[in-house]
Amino acid sequence: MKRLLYSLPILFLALFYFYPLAAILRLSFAPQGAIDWAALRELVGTDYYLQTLWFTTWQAAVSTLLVLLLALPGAYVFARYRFRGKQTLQTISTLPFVLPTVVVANAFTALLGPNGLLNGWLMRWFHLAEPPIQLQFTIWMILLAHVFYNYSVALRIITTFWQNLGDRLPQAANMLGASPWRAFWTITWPLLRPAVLAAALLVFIFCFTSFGVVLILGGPQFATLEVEIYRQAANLFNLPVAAALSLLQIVFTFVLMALYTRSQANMIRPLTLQSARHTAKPIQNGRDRLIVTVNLGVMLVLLALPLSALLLRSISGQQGLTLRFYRELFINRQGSLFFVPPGTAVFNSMTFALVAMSMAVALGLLAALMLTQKPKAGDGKLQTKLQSLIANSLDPLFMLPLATSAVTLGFGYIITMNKPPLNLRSSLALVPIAHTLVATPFVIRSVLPAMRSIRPSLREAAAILGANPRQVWWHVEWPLLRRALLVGAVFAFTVSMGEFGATVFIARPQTPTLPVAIYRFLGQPGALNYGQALAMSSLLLLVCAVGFVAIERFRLGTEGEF
Amino acid sequence: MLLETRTLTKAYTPETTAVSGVSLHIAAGEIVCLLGPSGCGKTTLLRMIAGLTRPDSGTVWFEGQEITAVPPHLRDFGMMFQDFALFPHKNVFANVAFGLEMHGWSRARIAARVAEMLALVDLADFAQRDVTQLSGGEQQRVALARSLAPGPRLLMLDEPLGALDRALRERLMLDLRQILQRVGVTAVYVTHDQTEAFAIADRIVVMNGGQIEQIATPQALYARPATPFVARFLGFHNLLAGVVAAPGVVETAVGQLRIDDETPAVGTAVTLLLRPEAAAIVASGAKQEAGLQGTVTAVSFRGRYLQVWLAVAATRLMFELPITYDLHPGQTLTLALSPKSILIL
Repeated sequence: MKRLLYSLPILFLALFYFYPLAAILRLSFAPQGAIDWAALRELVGTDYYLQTLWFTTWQAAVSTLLVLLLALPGAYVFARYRFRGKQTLQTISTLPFVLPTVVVANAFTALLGPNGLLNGWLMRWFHLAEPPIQLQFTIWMILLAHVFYNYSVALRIITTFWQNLGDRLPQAANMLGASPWRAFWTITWPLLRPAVLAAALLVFIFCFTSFGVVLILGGPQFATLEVEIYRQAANLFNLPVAAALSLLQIVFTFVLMALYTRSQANMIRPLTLQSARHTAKPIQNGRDRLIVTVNLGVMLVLLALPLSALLLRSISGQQGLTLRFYRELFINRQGSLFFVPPGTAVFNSMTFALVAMSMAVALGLLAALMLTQKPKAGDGKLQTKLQSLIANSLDPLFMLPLATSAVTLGFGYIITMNKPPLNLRSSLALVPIAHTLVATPFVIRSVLPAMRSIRPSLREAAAILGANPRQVWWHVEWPLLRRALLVGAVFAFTVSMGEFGATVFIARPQTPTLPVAIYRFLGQPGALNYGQALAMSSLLLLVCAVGFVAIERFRLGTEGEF
Repeated sequence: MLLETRTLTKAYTPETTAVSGVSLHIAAGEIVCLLGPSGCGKTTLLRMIAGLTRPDSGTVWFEGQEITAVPPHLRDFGMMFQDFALFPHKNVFANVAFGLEMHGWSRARIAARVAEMLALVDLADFAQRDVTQLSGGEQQRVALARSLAPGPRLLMLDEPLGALDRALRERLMLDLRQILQRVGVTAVYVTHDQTEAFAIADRIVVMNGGQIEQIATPQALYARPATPFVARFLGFHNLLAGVVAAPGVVETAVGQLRIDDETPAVGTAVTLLLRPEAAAIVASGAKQEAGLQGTVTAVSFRGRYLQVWLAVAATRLMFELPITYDLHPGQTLTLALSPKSILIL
């Protein structure tokens, strides 16, 4: 019975992850059944694909570097200073993490695009005929959006670690004669490095697999692997090349993910973590004030401006403030066959998200339970070794969907789910299934630390006091896991709400989700359509923000490792 | 015999055996201490008795019944963990009540029993407290109350004072012994601290390398350590290798020593234990045949006595001498050894 339950997450992974990936492999190596290197040769042979890979890599590298440059001082401020509103700010600064890429992309066009808020103001004030800020479809827009998106990720990881690192070690170094600067380089930095590395890798992975941001902000001349896969498959129907690109993408992300899980394991090293409460100091002098103010300013400009621009732009028309775009969402002007009222898109997204959340919670919980099982005592040595090997490789295995590009996944579904044994192409279930796959890692990451933090002696104490295994679960483990599970559930919900890359492939025309509907509006010309896209993005932003508030409310301390 | 283990063996890895072939008897009402350095297998032995660890071979018997395969929750034993393992999401009352709930007690009986237990450990007013806000000593007493509440047939304590500081440990040792005796529970107590074992145990089982070195009452153990390991573990420093030269005489590196202990056949290699209180200073000039002449290397004032380190040839010995002497390192000293205080191990 236990075995059967535990096999569910693996079965799900095999069916809806490895099977489509295997199909992609087959398609790239042997499109006609026999092994054919043509697609791969084309991939390696032409400059274009190498250029795509090169672009994907360097934009990710530059984005990561920019993110670290901004996030490190920010983390220092949050970790070392005590000031009013810090808690709230810290919470708000992590909001972008749950925002859909479509929303982020639109927020930046709303701020900096040719019709954006900033250009509008500048043109009006200085009576310019042309928008002075020409960032649309340049690399800067992509980099900016990536920084916006990942700043919070890096900030969160590094701050949490830095806070708990405490200030006693650098103080000890000071007492031994090291200057503050020296103490930082010889003591703090080496201890901090694993966290910075983990953050850098995660940010790099996110930027490497960036899809929505590049697709919407990059325009035709920029394409990451992810965007190229989408174009080859959806626009050019060049499936073998798309498959070959997916393969390339998979190889890269697997390596990166393996590095990430390794570096994350290293973060566990500091044994005596200090309570964060005692390590922060109040702002004492002008220097402190400068440091804090500059960082908070960066945060404000980076995070608050685009989002407010999105909201503001969605309610401003030619004649000033208006709710026209929101009203228009409910009117089908062109009598379009594909018109889907936004209410329906919201309903679709909500339903899919609820289903995906339930499945992700069930599977994530089972997977986490399986990962925390100790190898049974009394088994042979070989068996124990094998078990621990499986257990060690299972953790990154469950994380794979997080690293695998959503587009690759959607593409894999397109080519596998249209024929028996899994004929789900026209089924409504396909979208929630894809979302479940992407959301489950979040549930696992939320629950696993809580589960691991339950000391084994608690279970043993309960058993000795007469609790059978089911009672131990119900009276001891479940109450201690409840909150973490709730956090995981809300995470899963918001992830599903914002998922774009896979959904754009597999959603049926009649049942688009919010992000897909937004993308459709963007694809149509005219200020009205653009305004509606912004209005819908704002709606999605609000939904995710509410989910985010829920996560923060239920999160205990710094639960959840990413 | 209440509890019996027969040739219990457990190996976590094939290279290192945690417990090998341990057979042990525990009588009803007895407090038995498993004493030994960390890694000696005492905790593993305890966990096998508790049913938390399955032995590789050997059996556990309780009241004449084999219980080796009985899961822990059906054994009706109690256990106190080193980290106390209090449920962080339950308050003091709920922690103590947990075992009673598991045994299906009625609400009214639970309330009465919990109150009784909290009174026993002197925490009567703490029922509604959050366990995470208790001090170490309070947590320890809640853990004790919790493990005693269901009236366990056997109580196991795994280094229950190990997490506490020294002063608190000294005080709680006596409390613990008194409470255990008042309840009359049979207890197995694991510790690495000999003072604790001496204070609490009726009988001490000294373990080393997964095996039993010696089983004795605290008094007998101190008076007569059975092996060099036990002697060293109890803090005796003066162990000398020697060969029996004649009945009552052993030849050692520091010369021939006369002993009252029964000696084996002439020529047998033995280990001698010189108790620190064995020596008395011989006034300079007086001639004595059993004199032990050496140089003082260190003197440390210990209140009731002076601890004196003496280098005799290449051997360093430690003796406790009266504080009336004025001794300094470098001084040459002649000591007379009392044959009564020299033991053959």
